[in-house]
Amino acid sequence: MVNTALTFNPVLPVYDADGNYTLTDPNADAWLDNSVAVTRIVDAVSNINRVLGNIYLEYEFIKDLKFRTSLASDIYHQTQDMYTPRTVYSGSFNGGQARFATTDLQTILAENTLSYNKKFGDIHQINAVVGFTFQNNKSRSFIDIATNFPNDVLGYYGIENAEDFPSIYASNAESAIVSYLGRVNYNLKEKYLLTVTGRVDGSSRFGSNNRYAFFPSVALAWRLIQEDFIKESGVFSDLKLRISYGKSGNDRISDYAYIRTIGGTTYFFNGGSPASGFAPQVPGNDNLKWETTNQFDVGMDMGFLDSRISLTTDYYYKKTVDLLYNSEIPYTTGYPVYLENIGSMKNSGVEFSLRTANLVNAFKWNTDFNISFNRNQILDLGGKTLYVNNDTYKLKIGTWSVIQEGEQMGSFYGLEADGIWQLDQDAEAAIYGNEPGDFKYIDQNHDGVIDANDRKIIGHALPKFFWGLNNTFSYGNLTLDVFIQGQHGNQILNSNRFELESGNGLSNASTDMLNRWTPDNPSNEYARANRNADYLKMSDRYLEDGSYVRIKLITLSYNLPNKWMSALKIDNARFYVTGENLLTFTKYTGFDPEVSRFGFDNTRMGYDYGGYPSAKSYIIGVILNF
Amino acid sequence: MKKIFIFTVILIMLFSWSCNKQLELEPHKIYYDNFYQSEQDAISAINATYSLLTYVNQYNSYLWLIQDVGSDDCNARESLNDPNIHQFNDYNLQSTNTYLQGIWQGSYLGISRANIVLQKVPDIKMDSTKKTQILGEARFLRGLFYFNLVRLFGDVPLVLTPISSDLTDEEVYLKRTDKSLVYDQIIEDFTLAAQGCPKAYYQSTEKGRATKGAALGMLAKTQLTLKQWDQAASTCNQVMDLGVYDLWVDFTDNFKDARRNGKESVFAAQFYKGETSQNNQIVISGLPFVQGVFNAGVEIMLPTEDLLNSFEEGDYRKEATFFDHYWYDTFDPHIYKHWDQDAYDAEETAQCGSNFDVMRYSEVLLMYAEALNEASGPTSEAYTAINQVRARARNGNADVLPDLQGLSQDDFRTAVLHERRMEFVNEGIRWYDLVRTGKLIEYVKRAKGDKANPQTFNYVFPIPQRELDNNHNLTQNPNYQ
Repeated sequence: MVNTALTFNPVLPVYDADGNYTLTDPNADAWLDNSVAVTRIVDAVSNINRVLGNIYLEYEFIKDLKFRTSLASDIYHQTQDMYTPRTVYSGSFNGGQARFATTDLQTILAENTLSYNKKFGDIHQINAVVGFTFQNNKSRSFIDIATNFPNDVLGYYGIENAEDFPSIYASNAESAIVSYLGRVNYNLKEKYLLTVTGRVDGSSRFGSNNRYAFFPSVALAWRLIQEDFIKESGVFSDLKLRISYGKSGNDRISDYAYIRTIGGTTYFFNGGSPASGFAPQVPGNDNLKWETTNQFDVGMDMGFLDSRISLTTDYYYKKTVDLLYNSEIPYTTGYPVYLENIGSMKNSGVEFSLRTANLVNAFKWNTDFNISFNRNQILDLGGKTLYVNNDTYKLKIGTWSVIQEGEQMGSFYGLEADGIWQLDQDAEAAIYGNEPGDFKYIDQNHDGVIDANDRKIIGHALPKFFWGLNNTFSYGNLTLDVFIQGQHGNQILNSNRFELESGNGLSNASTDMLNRWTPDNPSNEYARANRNADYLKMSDRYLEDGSYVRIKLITLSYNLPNKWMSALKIDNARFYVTGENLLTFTKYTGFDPEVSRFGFDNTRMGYDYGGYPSAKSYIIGVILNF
Repeated sequence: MKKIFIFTVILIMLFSWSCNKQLELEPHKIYYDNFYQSEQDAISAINATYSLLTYVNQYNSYLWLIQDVGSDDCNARESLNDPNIHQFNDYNLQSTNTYLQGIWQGSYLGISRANIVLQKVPDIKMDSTKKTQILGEARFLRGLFYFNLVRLFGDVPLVLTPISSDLTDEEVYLKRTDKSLVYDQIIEDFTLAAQGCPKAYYQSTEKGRATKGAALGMLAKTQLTLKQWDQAASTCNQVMDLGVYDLWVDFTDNFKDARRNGKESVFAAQFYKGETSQNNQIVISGLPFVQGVFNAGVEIMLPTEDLLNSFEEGDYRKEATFFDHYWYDTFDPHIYKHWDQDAYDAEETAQCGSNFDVMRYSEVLLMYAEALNEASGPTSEAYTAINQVRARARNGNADVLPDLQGLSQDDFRTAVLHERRMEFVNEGIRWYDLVRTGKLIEYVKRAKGDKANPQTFNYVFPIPQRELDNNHNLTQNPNYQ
């Protein structure tokens, strides 16, 4: 939608002379929808019904030995109806289109535990649990598309009048996890704390040979503040040293992914004789197994001045092995990707969290500050390099990111830009088939051609550090919260600029193009206007510093005095005004540095293409508790 | 004591419930190891191989689009916002070209499906005639996919079996196979297909499957490409002797839905406009954009002046191939050959259900004429064959397109190439013809001037970068990087 608005011909009016929406731009060949029309008249309604249930039974066999069994369920039903009338471009050539989607999800979780809790005098305390849990998830979805409606009057309510039902999609899936677990907590004199856990998890998402895996962990804590020599020093009001090591697993892949499943297709012989065909859709992998993370953590909790100042510091080292990854494989195999366990990766870093009570009298001021530094590195990929492509949408820029041994996740990959060819460089430009005014790139291997072999890692999507700062000021019943956050050292691929700075005149352009290269204006940044510009080359030209500092949230609230409220039988009443995303300091030229087209997919970070920016919003509210 | 008893019972109940069965979930899907059991499964497997033919990266568009734009027949529309198409027009082809990547992907997907049929179907208990036919069809389709690949890319990896479930390095990191070995395989596939496939299908729901004639026709074309003139002529002769094929009296009948899979169609990708996905519909890419009439005219390519001027005076095929007006709208000449106006209104042309002929009988006649001429000069059989095609193009006007006679071998060679050009505009043939006759550079420059600069290395296209990135054993064609 944002992309449509950005690239739509700016000269075209929203409405044509007859007062109808302008559907599309006759001079462009990329079919663009009128974003005003889409926003105003595409009718989309979603309904969700959800039932959550939980029952349990607890029984004490003998003193301190308890059995507990519980059953929880989550039943979710969603319908999504949408109607695209013929007055927008996408509905104009199929006589209006309705889409009906139903999704059902059902989760059942059964947990059975036996626990033993015993204190032996003041010295030993033991808490032990063994248990068995079982979880089953079922999902079912159904989508029906209807087209060619007699008119747009009824919208999706008129489905029985639709002429064609061109496609139906249905899916059914189920997964289950079985766990056997045990945990022992041992507490010696409130000074030394030991926790040992072990669990065996089984997941239906892996083949029968690799379903189960064992995940142990051990944690030790030493409450130094209980030691006399610390207590007597008088420096600390709290001091605790923590150290832990553990293993955990990840089975977050789609259901049945290990099986070579077969899907249907239809070929029509002789003008409409349907011949149904079946062929494998994914290669499957019998050897798929759990991705595991080994984590070591050492930390210290400190309190000073009666805990008006508390500081927590942590160092961690995480090594993840057998990463579950959809590797691209050559098309010669008959499949584009192969889900496999591959290589290993580390994350290590430090985290600090500081909490201070600056003023504690009638006027109170508390500060919370936290900051994290993380270093990510791919340790091993079995000698492979994994390429991340984006050929699914209309902006076909091919490979733009790469996963490589020794490098970080989220490494941008492409050519290194070197300004613009200038008039006096025409001879050299001609070697590369360019003219003055064209983009210039660094010929990394000096072979006289700019091509795929000149690509390299040109930037990183992971920040060097990020932080958050919250200040709370209060006086009487009035409270002011100010939350600021920031991150530094990351880059964003502003891919909107591929089109907006293409200079080919076929889509709307950025106003920066007013400063494009001309013989009289030897810009070194924006190329000349050129109908046949080859503008889809990934380069660091489109990478921008994604660092930012943002005033994320300011809330001013007022608690009405209790004595007024008790008369009204109200326990608590609070009025508040909140502003979100009020102010951002950044060099990023896109709409929003907090952007990710691919959500939380950590192989495709920092990609901005028509991202819908975070809204600046103001909320006024009242909270009443009875 | 009683408490301990209850406790034990509960424990046993809970652990027995938790047995491995909870993780054995039936996928509600068919999968590789429980399929390929019955005759119906075998038919489904071959149908899935056919379905590739209508993919956008195959005969729906890419396979013929690049033939038009990459040859002297068409120019990409100047204002077309697609650098990947202009690369074919201007001969600055990049390994990242999305059209070439698509063709490669679709062809190997088709090959992998044909390989599954050839591996799984022999073990299925079913009617043996039907089994022979299905294996023949799979051979035909695999041969067709490889024939396209080897002509576009030269040496390509030769895959003849489906991948195993634990995907070994040998299956992933394939080397390119010398093209002469790829051609050997294509000849074997078409030869075995000709033995397995029936002469014709009499049930209307089966028409469009590979026939003996289709396999022989493609075999002849392979032999012609390899300059095996005697074999090519004799294979063409076999097709002619089948007695199945003939020319339509009216050239335009070839492009009518009512005549689909008719007597002139040797093999066609089957399209259909119905309540289905777009893969079954074909885009008439050459139509103009005229608001309110051709709303979806994508106008990717326009005929070159050179092509328009090459038609002899009165050649009926010129008016059957191009139009420059529609009712009151006038425009530059555009290719509209594949648009069946009896079946589709102008506004429906974005999605037509017309077949795309991979080979027509007129090509068998012209291949026959060419092979005979190359083997032993313009024989009377050669003249008969080419003049049969010319006679039909007169469309009843005896004053035009005189019969050819008395040509030297070289003039006859030129005449056949010219006749093929007039006959097969927009039918996915021209670039291959220019390459195999060695005329690409001369003719493209003649038609397009300085704008296009093809060179000898352009006789094959670059191997897609995605494949090079993911397979360290693959090498690029010379002069492409």
